[in-house]
Order: sequence, then C-alpha cells, then structure tokens
Amino acid sequence: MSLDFGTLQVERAIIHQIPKRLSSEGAVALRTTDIEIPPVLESMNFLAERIKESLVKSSYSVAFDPEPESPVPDLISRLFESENDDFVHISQRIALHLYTSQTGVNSRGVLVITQVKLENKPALAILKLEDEKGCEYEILENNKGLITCSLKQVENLMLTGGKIFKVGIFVKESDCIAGCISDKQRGIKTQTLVANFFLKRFLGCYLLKSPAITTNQFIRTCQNFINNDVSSVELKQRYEIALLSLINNNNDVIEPTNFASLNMHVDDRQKFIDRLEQDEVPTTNFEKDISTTGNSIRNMHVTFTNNECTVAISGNASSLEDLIIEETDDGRVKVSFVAELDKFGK
Amino acid sequence: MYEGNLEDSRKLYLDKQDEYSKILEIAFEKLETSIKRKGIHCQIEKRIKNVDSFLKKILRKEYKTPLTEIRDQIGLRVITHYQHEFDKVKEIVYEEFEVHHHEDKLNSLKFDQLGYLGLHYEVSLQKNENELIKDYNEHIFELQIHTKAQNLWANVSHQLLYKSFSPPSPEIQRSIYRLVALIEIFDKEVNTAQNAIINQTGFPEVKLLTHLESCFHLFTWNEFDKEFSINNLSSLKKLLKDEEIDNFENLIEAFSSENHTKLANLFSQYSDDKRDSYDRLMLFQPESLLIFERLEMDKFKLQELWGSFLPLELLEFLANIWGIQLPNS
Repeated sequence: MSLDFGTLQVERAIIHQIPKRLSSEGAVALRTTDIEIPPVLESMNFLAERIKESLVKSSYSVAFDPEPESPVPDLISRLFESENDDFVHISQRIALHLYTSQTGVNSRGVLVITQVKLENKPALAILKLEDEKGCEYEILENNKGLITCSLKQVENLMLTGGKIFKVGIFVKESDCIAGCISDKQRGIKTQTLVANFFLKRFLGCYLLKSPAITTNQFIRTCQNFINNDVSSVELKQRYEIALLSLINNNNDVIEPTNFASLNMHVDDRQKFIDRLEQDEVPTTNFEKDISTTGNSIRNMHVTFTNNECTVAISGNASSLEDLIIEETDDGRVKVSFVAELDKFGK
Repeated sequence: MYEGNLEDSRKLYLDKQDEYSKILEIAFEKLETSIKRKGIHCQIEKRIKNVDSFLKKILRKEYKTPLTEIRDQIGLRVITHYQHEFDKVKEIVYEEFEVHHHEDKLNSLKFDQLGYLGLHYEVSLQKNENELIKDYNEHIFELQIHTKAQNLWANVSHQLLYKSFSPPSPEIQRSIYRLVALIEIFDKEVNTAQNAIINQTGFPEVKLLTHLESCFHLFTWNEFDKEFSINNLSSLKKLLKDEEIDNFENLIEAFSSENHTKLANLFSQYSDDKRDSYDRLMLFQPESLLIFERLEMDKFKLQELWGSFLPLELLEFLANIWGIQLPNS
C-alpha cells in the first residue's frame, strides 16, 4: 500500500499525558484529558508536519490482528463508524489501554490522537512520545473540572526532549481500514521488544510484509537495476559492491534514499528509486533482515557472455576492495582481484 | 418620446431588484471561480443599474418594453492586465453562460475611427441554473471584458461625455481622440513589450515565471517577490532540459492539474498560518510549483543544486509537506 503522506491534514487533536506506571499499587492514577486542543491552523499544521516527517522517513504497512490483544482496532473502527461524537471518549479509551499495558520499563510521555484527512479520506493518526528527560507537564483544569493539555508541552517534547516518537496512522478505505506505522526503534535489534509493544500490544496490528521479504525484494530489484538499467561496467561494479556492503554491514536498517545518494551516480539515483516504486519495494527506511537471503546473493557473481565463465567471489565488502572490473579497449571486460589462495573449486 | 407610464416602469424595476441581485451574485461567483481556476490575475466589477439611470435611459432611447429591451440592468466587467488574456476570459464566458450576442468594439470601428474598445457580451445564466431563482425567466445581462487601460478610458469618457450639457467643441473632441488613440497604442505596446521580454534570449526565467504565476494563481492570490523568483529560477532552470523549457507551460499546467486537490489544500492550510518561521518562505513563491514537480521528478538533483543558491532548510520544509524523503534527512 502506498499512501501519499503529503496530502495529510490534521482536523482535530487531543493530548493525553501518560504517567510512568511504577507498580500496580503505586500507580499514578491516569487522568485522561476531556477537551481537544483548539483547532487553530498553526497547531494543526505543526502536528501534520511532525506526522509527515516521521512517516516519509520510515513507514511499514500494517493490518489489524484478527485476534488482537488490544482494544485499539475495535475503537478505531468504531470511530470511523460514528459521526465524530465519540472522538474524545474513544481517545480516552485508547490512552487508558496504553497506560494499563505499560510497565515500569516504559518512560512516561504523551499520547496525541488526531483526526486527519489523508488522500481526502477520513483517517486517524496516533502519536506516542516518550519523555526521557523528565519534562514538566502542566494539566489545565477549567471551572467545570474538565481537563485539557496544551500543545506547547508536545512541541517542547518533540523539538527538544522527546527522543522517541512513534506514529500509527489508519485510513478508512471503501471496504477496509489501511494502516501504517513509523517507529524509529523498529529494526534496532536491542529495541525489538519495545517496537513490538507499540505494534502488537498497543495498536493490535501486525506487519503486512515481513522485513525478510522486503529485504529480499529490495536486493532483487537492486540487482535487476544493476544488470538491466546500468550500462557502464564501472558503475555496475561500484553498485554491486555497494549492495554487497549493504547486505553484509552491521546496520539494522536499509535506507534506500541514502543508499542511492551515497553510492550512485547522480543520473541513476532517481531512476533507482523509481524502479523500487515500480516493483512495490519500500523507498523509505525499513528493517533489514537477511536471514532468508540466499548465499548466492550475498556473494558476488560475474557472469560472462553465454555463461562461458562465471567468477564467484564470496566474502564481505571489505575483502572485495581489491576487486577491479574494467572495460578493455576491445569492449571486453577484465576482472582482477588479489587474494590468498586456499583452494580451487567448491 | 416615451409613451409608457414612467411611474409603472419605476415600480416594476424596483420589484425586480431582488431577482437582479441573485442573478448578479450567481454570475459573479461563476465568473470568479472559473477565472481563479484558469489562473488569470484580474479584477471583476459588478453593478446593478440604479433606478435613476434606468429611467433616464428609457427617456433617452424611447424603449417600448424597457425591462426586456434594456440589457445592462445587470452588468459585470472583467478587467485584465493584458489584452492577450482576453482569449482565456472569452472561453470562460462561453463555458459558463448562454451567449446571446457578442461584439468586439474594435470591429465596429472603421480603420480611420477611434473609440470605445473592449469585448461586450449579452449573456444569461445557463438553463440548469434557472431553478435557483424563483420565477426566473432568462434574464439577459451585460458582461464586458476590458484591459486596465480600456477600463480607465471607459470610466473617464463616461465622466467627460455623459456629463457635458452640450456637444464638445472640435478642440475638445480632438483631445479626446488623442487620448483614445493613446489607450489603443498603450495596450498594443504593453502586449508587444511583454512578448518581447518573455521571448528575449537570456530571460528564460521571465518566461518560466509567467507560466508559473498563471498556475500559482489557481491556488492563491498571495503577493510574492518577483525578483526573488527570478533569482531562484535562474538556478532551478538548470534542472530542466531544453525541451522541458520549451514546453514549460504544458509541463507545469499538467503537474498543477494532476495535483490540483493536493496543492489547493496545501496553499489553503498555510495561507493563514502565522507561525514565526522562515522555512515557509518559498511556499508562497510561484516557483514552489516547480520545486514540488522536481521533488517528484528527481529529488536528488534538486537537493544537490539547492545548496548552491538557498539554505537547505527551505527545501526540507517543502519536501516534508509534499511527503518526500530527502537523502540524509
């Protein structure tokens, strides 16, 4: 699913503070907010910009788990059915679910629930911000005892203190609800549990495409691009080595735009991104999983005309630095490399 | 001499005022919407003839059925900057109204005559709009298209000629003719100069800006800094191939049309945003359309070029609101 996040417009928003839950006895009682933030243009634009910022960098298509642990899928579905009257109430139920699901491991933070339009369709965006720096919060109570929370606190958190920022967005399509999440912690191996908490336990969703499948698709498209769309032998070599390096390095995330920008000739960068889009491979950052990537693709193969000769070099990118592929004057290709000989054959 | 009852005509005319107001509002809105959609920067004037002028006209021209014979009870005037914009407005007139009669005032003058210029139409609302007005029976009204200069002349000549008690002396007539000639020359020269500037070698930026401005006004009427635009376009044009520059009008029109809703929403979202931030500086410059187009066509080349003429934050803001990820962002 490819959504145009540039079309996102925020219409309503409510902010709930989620305190740290130390233990069941000592828990700070959650006081959910009763009033939305005033729908002033500047606030709505600020939130839209932050949501877009996150989703354009990294977004994973998700679907509601058919048997979710979380009430969120049902609450979102109800919100799309109702005539907006339940927005505040449903947001309070979502905030309560987050609070009761958290343990002492989770930092305190805020939950911003926004009613948005995406591609002119009704949608809901949920923003979770964790506060690692202990910003001071202010709860405002009006003379009727209703509580509100100002956007200023969210702005401070987003622009200065809040390091962890996750977004889930759900769009009402004609026959279903489509979803996407953005989570900086997804893909970082040490943070898998926290990322899964947001995706599964809190939102009640699962990833539509596993990172292993996405990684394989990326590699295949990249390989096809090198073979079919790049004519210069020198560039083919450069891109092949870059791909091998990407597969074998220790980074947990693949960043297609940065990959193109860092490794490709300026004329090839956009073509590569367009090719990924054509093949429905994400162009935003995604989790790398090479667990099912075959060895053949992790190693380098140079196949000559009519399959008369194949040179295969296995190893990581650093060992390939001595590899030189060059075009000779008569139009043929010379492959040379220096390595310590162990044995011939397989 | 008028043989009807002037008091009856006065009452009948006053009874029609509500109907006229409704017709005028509908016609004005249709015209304004279409003009904005086509990106024509112009002014629209509207008026209902006051009862005094109506009665004087009856007396002057001896109408038998003044309410139907007089067709300028309701009047609209579109005032364009340049004469070449007439064609676009003409298209709108034929698309949005039933045209009963039209007259190019220039055609009614012999080559050795000078006089009132502009396009005049007698139109009515389209049939399907009748139901919006109770008891409406195809009222014909007047719609004029003038340049600014022609409009100036129309207003001044009205003051000069209609308000004089006796025919002007030959000397005054001659000075009036000199003025009329000047108006005609003015419009022609402005048109010639504009075309020359657009097509002048070394000024492709002006040509690009002219087309961008036309599309930009589809979405916003915000004022912009022309000099800033020209500076930016002198860099941005490096991203365009020769054939794209030659075909720029179609390129930018197609992009604006394909992304009409998205662009309209964006400009509307930010038009009244009062946050104190300079990163929105570029949005309300016509070249923002080209920047959005290039973000889709080749964001890498755009980003690489950008650093040579403007701070990167300005591009990052536009990329973000357009929903495009830039490298290393």
